Amino acid sequence: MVTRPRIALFIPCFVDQLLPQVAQAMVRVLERVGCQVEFPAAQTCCGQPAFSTGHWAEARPLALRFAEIFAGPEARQSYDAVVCPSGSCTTMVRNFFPALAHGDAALAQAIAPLHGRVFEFSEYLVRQLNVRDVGASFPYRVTFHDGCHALRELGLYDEPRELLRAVRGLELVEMEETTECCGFGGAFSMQMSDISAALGQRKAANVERAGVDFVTSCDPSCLMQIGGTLARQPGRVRAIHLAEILAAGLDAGLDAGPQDSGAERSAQPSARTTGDAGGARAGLRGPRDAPPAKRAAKPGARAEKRP
Amino acid sequence: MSSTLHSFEQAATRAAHDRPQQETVRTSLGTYNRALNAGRERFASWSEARHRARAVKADAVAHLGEYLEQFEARITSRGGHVFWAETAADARDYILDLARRRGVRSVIKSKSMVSEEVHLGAALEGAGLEAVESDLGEFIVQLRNEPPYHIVTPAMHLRRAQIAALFQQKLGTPAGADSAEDLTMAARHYMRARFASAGMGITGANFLIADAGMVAITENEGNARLTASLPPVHVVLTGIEKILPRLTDLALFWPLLSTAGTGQAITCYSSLIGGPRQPGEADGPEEFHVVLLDNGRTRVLADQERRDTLQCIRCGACLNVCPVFHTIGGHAYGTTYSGPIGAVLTPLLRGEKEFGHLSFASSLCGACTEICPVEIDLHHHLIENRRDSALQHVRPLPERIGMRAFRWLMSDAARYARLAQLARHLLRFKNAWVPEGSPLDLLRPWTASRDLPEPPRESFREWWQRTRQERGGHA
Amino acid sequence: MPKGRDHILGRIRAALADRPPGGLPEDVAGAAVFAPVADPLARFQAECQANRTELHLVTAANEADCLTAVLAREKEGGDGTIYVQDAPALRALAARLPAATQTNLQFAPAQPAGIASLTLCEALVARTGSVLVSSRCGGRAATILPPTHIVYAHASQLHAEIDAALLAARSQSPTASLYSLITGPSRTSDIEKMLVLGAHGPKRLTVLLRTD
Ligand code: SF4
Repeated sequence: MVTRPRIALFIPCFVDQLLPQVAQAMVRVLERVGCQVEFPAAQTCCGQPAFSTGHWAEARPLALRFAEIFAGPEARQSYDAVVCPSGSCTTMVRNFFPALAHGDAALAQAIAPLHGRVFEFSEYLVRQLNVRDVGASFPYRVTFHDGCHALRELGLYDEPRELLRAVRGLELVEMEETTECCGFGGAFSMQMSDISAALGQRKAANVERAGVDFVTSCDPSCLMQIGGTLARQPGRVRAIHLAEILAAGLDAGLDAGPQDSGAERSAQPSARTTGDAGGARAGLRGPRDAPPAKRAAKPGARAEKRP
Repeated sequence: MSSTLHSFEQAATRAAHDRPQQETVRTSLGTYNRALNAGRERFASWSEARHRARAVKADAVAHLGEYLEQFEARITSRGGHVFWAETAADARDYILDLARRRGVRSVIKSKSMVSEEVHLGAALEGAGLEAVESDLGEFIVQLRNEPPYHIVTPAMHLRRAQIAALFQQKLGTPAGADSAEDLTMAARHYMRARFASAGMGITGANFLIADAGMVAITENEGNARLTASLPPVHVVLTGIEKILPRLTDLALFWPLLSTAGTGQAITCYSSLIGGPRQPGEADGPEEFHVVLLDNGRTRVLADQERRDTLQCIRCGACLNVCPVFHTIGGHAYGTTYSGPIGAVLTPLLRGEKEFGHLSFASSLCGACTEICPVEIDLHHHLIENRRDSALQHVRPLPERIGMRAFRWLMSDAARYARLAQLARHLLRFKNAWVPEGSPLDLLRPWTASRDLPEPPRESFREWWQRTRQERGGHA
Repeated sequence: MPKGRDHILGRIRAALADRPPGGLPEDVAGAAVFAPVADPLARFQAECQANRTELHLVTAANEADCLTAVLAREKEGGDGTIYVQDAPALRALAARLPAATQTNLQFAPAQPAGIASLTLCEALVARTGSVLVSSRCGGRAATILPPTHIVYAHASQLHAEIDAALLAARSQSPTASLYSLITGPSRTSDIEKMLVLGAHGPKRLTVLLRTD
């Protein structure tokens, strides 16, 4: 029997609270390519804020909790993979949990089954499902910002670009210094805000110079930094998550269907189930679908000015 | 708040707003970057080169004692002297004693970061000796009474016009002589007389070759060669970690260091010195001394996790690619070693309490680790340093309380969902009533320069619950 | 004074009590790291050009003329003296120079006022276009102090790689107190990254390479 991959959504806490449209878009895309998606409601945060500021004692219980929710005996029965719309949070689980578990046998044991099960969104589509064209269309000029964790910790560079190149109407433009840090850095953005802001401004300037309509990334935290900085500048480039682009125009693309979809493995691309995806369905313009930057929450005003 | 932290914050903030300075540094690094990329192409495999270099240095560090003894025996057999300095003061005292014994009045120095580390220049001057830096960049910052801005390119923060004005004032060069060529020749001319009259030459070392018992020095200008050739006494001041096991390892390390440091295939002078003038040699110093400095290095060696920092070959590549270094520059750190390696090493050598904050001055982007030619796990070490800072309770109280609260909040999904919902309401209220970035705004560090997304009415989990749960999702 | 030595070595021993087993890789600069040099002489020529070494390929028939022409350029500054390493091969070569040139030659360690030096070398490296000298090549100053350094070498001294050249130098001159791998004339780019030749060492490096 061909089965649909069963996915547990790992939605970072700040995406849950501030950028729900990113998670909704990811749901829509995953279902579109034939996945069965669940949201383990007990999840909260992977603990990265505590880990990266050095408060490992506070991070360990959260890692343990995460492992129980996503890789406990029951979870292992229910899900084939854990997928996350953030390269950074995926890195926390995949690369940093082992560091936390060093010398903590209970935690080491608990996180062991996470190994090989947690994926960043673009990584999952391209490497696991072998999907590049999800059927999206997005007729804009777009540049891609490499989040440092996705790039250097997870080794993702081609994956998001391959997905973007398959989007109808989209023109992918590489900006200068695309692999240079946006300056977010978690608590760093608040604790060393002058340095962080200077880096954000440099990145925003590179985005502006690329002459694009949108900047996208696998990392919503980078997009908060870049989008938030762009919003203070006269240009009109907006920040948007990769999942939102891949979810754009899916209805229009229904007939054509994805070309190399991993859905072959499944019974049917479950396009119908996206019908009730609420805001996500309304694409970028819906009230709950505000792209990350606040000013971009009023896209009408900016989009209308576009020649 | 410690005074080092306070001065770091002030200097970093000032530098973060100094765009002309950043442009000067970026321009210089743009040239470096192009050379680096071309330089890496000269390797059949840059990653294999790094890999082997790490293995060689890891072995050198793992057998440090044996290699140092081997090195010492060979140096001694040629009539050289090896002094083991436990502290910076030991190193300074040894060199000052030697200068007194030899009746030295003036010293010529060639670039050495260890000499900066032990504040040798100030000690020599304090003892009434004239001490001149012969490396051009180092000479420029010496004339300005500044520490080096960068461990490889000490004067990278200065524009030509500033250097021309400096030389006019201090060396009396003519006003029109302001090309890079003119200025370099002015320094060459000035220095020639110093080389001839110096009673002692002091250099650093890039590598200590155990099997050959020789000191390897890498440079472009020839000033280190002159420092080691003309004065009657040559002193090498260096750290114990500079060991390389074999002479033949240089076939990898010379090109590797040059490429990472400046993008050159190999630097102009890659020299090996094993002792004073030997019988039958035409010239050379009468005395040769190697001062091996510990100064905290054995403490780092005992740290299994971060022992690999002793593999560092001080190429400066991690500084060159570091966005924080680009922004705040080398002086803000207030330490001998700046940039990523400085932020990792300084707290280990000099304590988390005084220097732990340097490990927090990073977005953890990992560009340093990616470039490091000996594969030091730099940005992960920053997190480990942060962990040690937290363990030693040197972090600010609000952060410590905040992290406890964070753990409490995130330990229960229902609690998190309720309080986060409340926070969204408060944030919307704040956005409506408190002007963004105003002094009343608690999120000011963020909002002073960036927008924050407008909190949505419905979180993802609320949306999921509303649209999915009733349809029988078993989440 | 041995106190410091014992303390440091003791701390090193204690610190490495847990040292992980590891090994030293052989052949660290082998083919996996650097693509092998196919034609050493061609590579040496190309690298010399890139690093601004002036290279003359000579034979027994024309070497004296070539050296005469090279020396004739060296007039500026100093007292006109050309310091020559006191070696039989260089004495023989010098004897074939015009009398006017010979009067400027001194077979002695280089002094600050000299305008050029003429020395032998230990080896040449094709990969980097470098000249490996030692303190046995006329002393330490001879290869760094004068504004022009002229090297008289033979093609049989050419090695493809740095390590082979180092090993050759060490077996030829095992007691030398200094070896120096010289790659082009002295240079700096400390001022706005602009390249200037002749920072403290020679402004010109000339190699006469005997190919016969
Ligand atoms: S840490 Fe690595 S990159 Fe930085 S100076 Fe040392 S060797 Fe070079």
